Amino acid sequence: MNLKFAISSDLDFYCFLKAHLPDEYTIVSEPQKSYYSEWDFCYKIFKNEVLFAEYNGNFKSLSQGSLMNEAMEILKRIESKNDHR
Amino acid sequence: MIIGSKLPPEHVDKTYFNSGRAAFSFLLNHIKPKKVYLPTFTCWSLVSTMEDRFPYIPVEYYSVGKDLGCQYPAFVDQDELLVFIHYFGKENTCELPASVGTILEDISHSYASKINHVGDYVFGSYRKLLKVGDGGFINSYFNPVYEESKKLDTWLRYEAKDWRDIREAENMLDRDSKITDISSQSLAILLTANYDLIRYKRQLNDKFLTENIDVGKPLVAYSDTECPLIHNRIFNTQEERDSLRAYLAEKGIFTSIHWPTHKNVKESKADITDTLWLDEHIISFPVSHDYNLNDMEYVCACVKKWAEQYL
Repeated sequence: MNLKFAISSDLDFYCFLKAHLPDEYTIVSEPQKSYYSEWDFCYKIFKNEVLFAEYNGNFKSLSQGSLMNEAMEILKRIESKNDHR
Repeated sequence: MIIGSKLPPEHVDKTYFNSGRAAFSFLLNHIKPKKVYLPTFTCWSLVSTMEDRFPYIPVEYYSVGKDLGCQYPAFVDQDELLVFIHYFGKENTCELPASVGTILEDISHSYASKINHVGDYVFGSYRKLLKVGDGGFINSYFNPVYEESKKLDTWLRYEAKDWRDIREAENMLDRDSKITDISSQSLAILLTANYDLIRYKRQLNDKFLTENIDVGKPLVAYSDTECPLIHNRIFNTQEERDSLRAYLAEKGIFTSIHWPTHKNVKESKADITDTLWLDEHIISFPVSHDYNLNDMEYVCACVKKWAEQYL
């Protein structure tokens, strides 16, 4: 996997995938509009504009490293699917 | 005298950072105060910086009135630090307390206003006034050893296509704020900005809204040398204010509230009556130099339609 930068925290999840997902995938953040909601997250991954995965939660109540691992898993999964095409 | 080609660099009275809060944090690390005075009416970045990075320093909040008048403490003692703000680009003319401590002057809102600075240190953020991905400063020479960061919030702002990524970047900064350098893109933008033009266009926009919106009352009247950050109006009730905000959002006009009161301010012993009143009655219209009078005319027309339907 040719990475532009390494993921080192759950907080990097969104930017890491935004930078590394293949072209047919997009990741979108749907932040809350209310003030003081900075720890909440809602990330949606689309494949060719169809919802592929969704992640909702609060960074403060996450199991540490879970989003970081998930980001790597997603990329591996997509890469392996592409390899078998 | 030495004549040569590889001499030490000059020092200038300006130090750049990735954000205003990084500049503020750097100053606190440098000054090491034992007590900090903050206004009750403030952006949450100062409050959350104290909470996140300096939980061991006691914070005392001083009251700010409906007219933005500051009830400073009588005296700033040695090892104490007071922050004051030129709200929304208007010079804060409240008489500062006698001080043997440190006065920090936050000019994030008034960077393009012509104001004589009186603080021991002057600092701020560039992102309030300019469309930049990051940027903060202190108007003094320092040689910081910056903290390690991938600066992903800045990266995201320059990748952003709409408000959602900008908001996500803002959240990222709130979650994890490091003291780092400004990005080259932002530095190039701010060094080439025409501040006289920015001031002129913002003054025109603010004046237009002042003269053409018939509901609510402007909070601030600007002089010819001051550069409006936003156009704040005060409404009779929170319901009216919130109704107008919702209506305008449907029309593609996004207003804000300066500021929702931070929980730490609410939990403090300070008199926050007027601060809460402002929080409940204020609406902030954009008057950025990116907009022209046609845009302001559209804003006024939408406000008028709302008033016809709801008042």
